[in-house]
Amino acid sequence: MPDIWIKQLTKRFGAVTAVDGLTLEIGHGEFVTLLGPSGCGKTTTLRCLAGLEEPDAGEIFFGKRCVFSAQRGVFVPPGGRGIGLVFQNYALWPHMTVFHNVAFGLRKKKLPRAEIRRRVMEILNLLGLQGYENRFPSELSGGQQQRVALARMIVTEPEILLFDEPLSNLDAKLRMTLRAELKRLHAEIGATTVYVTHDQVEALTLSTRIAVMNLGIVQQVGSPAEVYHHPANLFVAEFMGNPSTNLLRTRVLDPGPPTRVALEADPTVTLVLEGGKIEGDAEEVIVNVRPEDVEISASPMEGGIAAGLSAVLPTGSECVTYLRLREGEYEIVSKGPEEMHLYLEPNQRVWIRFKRGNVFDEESGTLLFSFGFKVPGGKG
Amino acid sequence: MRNPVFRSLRRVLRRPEKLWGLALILGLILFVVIPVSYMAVHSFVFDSWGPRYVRGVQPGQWTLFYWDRVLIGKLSRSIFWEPFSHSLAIAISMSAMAIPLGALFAWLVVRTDIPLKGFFNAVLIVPYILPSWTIGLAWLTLFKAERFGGQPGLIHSLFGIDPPTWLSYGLLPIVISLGAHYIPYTFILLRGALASVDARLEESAEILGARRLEILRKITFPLVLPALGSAFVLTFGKGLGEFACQAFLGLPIRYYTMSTRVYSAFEHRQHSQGYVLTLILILMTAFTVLANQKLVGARKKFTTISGKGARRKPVKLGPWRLPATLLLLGFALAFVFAPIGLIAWETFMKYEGQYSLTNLTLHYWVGKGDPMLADGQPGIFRSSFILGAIKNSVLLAGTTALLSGVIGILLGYAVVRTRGSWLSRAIEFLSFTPYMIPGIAFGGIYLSIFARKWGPLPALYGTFALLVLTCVAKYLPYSSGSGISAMHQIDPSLEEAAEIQGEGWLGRFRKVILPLAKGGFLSAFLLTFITTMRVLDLIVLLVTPKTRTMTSIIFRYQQQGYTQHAYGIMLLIVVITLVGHYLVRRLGGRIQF
Repeated sequence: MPDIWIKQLTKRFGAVTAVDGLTLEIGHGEFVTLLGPSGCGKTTTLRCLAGLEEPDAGEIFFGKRCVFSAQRGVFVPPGGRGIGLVFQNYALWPHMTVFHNVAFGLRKKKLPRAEIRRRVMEILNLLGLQGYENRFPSELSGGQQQRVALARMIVTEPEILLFDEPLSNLDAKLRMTLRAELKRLHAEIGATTVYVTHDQVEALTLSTRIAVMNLGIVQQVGSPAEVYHHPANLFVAEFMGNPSTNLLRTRVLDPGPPTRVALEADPTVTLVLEGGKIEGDAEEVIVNVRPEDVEISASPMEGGIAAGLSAVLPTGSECVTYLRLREGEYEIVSKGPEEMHLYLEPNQRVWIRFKRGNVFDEESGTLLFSFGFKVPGGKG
Repeated sequence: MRNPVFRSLRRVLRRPEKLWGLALILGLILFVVIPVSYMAVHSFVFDSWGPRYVRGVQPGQWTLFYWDRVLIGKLSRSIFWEPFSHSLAIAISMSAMAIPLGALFAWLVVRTDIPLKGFFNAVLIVPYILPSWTIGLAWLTLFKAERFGGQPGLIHSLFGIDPPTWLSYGLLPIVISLGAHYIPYTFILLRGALASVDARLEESAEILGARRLEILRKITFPLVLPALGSAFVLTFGKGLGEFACQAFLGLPIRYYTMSTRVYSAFEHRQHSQGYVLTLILILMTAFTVLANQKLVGARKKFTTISGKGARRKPVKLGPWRLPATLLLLGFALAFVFAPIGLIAWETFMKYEGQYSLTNLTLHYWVGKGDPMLADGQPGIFRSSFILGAIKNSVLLAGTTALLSGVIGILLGYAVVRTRGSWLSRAIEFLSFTPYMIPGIAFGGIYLSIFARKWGPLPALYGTFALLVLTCVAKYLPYSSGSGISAMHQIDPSLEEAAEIQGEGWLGRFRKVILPLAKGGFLSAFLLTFITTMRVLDLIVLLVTPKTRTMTSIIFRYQQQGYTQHAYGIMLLIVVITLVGHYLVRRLGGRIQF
């Protein structure tokens, strides 16, 4: 029995369908991230889970309990769902102190005063907020406000935690710290968590599973490694990864195995892709290689493709390199450790090789197979 | 639960903003849309006076008679065309006085090294806080002429000459009093516009070698031009609709304007003729409001490029510093301190017009009544008639402010939470329409409609409720404005965070919305309070001896020649408005336009 079960969930705003027949099962204690660009329906899905929006169709179960069903006319209001929610802007009540913000839900439950005090202080201690209980939200830093929002959410011990882009208003450094803290907190409490973000790094670091969404539809559900290395379709492949991933249009020479394809930009370049075969009669496929899977060598190597170097962008810990196939008509991005790339000079001739990647059907955009190294449990 | 009616009912109760919205729309239709349309329709219908003008017609019969009488007929010249030209002359002249001076004052205070900035910032807006007729009344104490009855003014008693009529009454005094009243209006608008011009825009010109005047002409002026245009259009519109000053300084010599014509039409129960005049007046002011919205739209485009520049160094006035300071001090003296002083002095004069120490008395404040003075009327604090009026005024202002505040918050809530829907737009538009209707016209409409039984409402003429209703309806644009801006400050997630914790709508409203809207509510309350305390045009047609207010008895007393009493009550209103405004400022509120 999954802890959260979303069935055929649909939510429309006027003519716009924000969530379109979404189905998703989330197991007990899981940390699932809804990831996608803005307007993909991830926040709407979360708000439907919270009960802040009433969906137009579908069903939502929390454990065995149905909290929403369009067919049966069930709608449990947010207060009755046993959930906690952290908003993007924290939504701390500015006219209440930290203590009163956190105690709000406990008071609603009519607990004795001493019990409320004890539990609030305990939570504030857990989050390193001791001594701040009499401050107003405006007297706290962004990170502290975020922790108060967390405290307010978990103090009532909800079974399900919901997060709506909680870290997007913080600066990069603080985001790192709080990410670690969230992970620690999740390990400690073990509550089932649904987390909405558009930041793929956040999703990859925090989640047990990621659901990538676009246009109100779940594109792929899987572990972070699966979603990253074996994207189910071109949208997921393009959305994950930074700098943007390499997508090479190719013509099929031999469906394999081993598969042989020729670059459309330069038919003299053929690639041998080992690990699967092209089923059906696809004539054109797209080969997707992540920048970090592009090997560069200053000297010719076996199976290497000749390329020109157009720009080298060191970032400190690593180095991004832009390469040109066939005199600037075809650009490939590569990323690697700084020391490997720094000695390269612009306009130098280099040889590149693809360590691993994915092959997509050009028409449908779905994954055909992955070549090279594979993540355990991955498809392909 | 399966029942769809049930479901939507539950949905509405959980998020009742749509419910409030619909209720408000209903109210707005009842109290704004229907009265205005009723008036428009009935300007084509014979009223009870009809049979006296045209033989054989019945009241209620359709006709073009009134439009013909007002616009074309033999009397149209005195009924409409003369008042119309007077109104235009007043509005144009007072704008011509108020706009340049207000703009100059704003520039001096915001941009130059003029001394006493804090003082000027506070004092230069006082004429606008006071009732528009304060300066007009003070004018009379100076320039009243003996031949118009009553006692002569200060000029006469000092120099023994009777001032000419054009100096005592009519166009010139009205223009100067209203012009001075509206100078702060431009001052406030321009002050804001000048302060928001990005200093870097001017500094860039300076770096490129432009001189001071050139920068002012080529950069600053074009940037604040929309604000200036907006000030002109709004001042012009207000000049058209202004009533009290035009009544005090125009009626004694039968110098009629559109608004005083509307007043006398309704006062003499010539309703249909009043409707025609009112409609024309509304069309004139509505036109100015719409013109302003075009300008404000343009201004918004400009302000998007503004930002915080480096601290600007003030323009050095050099040899002009002293004359400029004297100009501002002179204005403050002539239009703030002198009027209040003259009005106060007047109340201590035993015999009007005799400016000597032996003539001073407290009789008109605390006297028991002397048959030789003011027909034996007791002093202000001993007269049950005046005390009753004070009580009525405070009660009216308090009730109006409270109701406006509550409606404003609900309106703001409904508008902001349903943002983007037709409901939101309809409420915002409808609650703004009373802004386009001058107070005297609004009072006239309500007089003719609510005097009788009206739908579910009983006949309200002569009741206190009618005054409250009129004021609340007329001030809707302000209350909805402050309600909407208060609600914009409250992110919906604050309410949702409480909803997650199981709080129902009432609890959310009480624990989250109200505490957060409190500050805005309080300053809106005070502003509506002082606005209602000093209102005359809106209620002058609606009051009866029982529901008299301070302003309405000033109007009566001034006509009947009980000058000291009238000025004494005026002084009380001045004090109340100034204190109220001071409190608003302390609360961080803004002046209402």
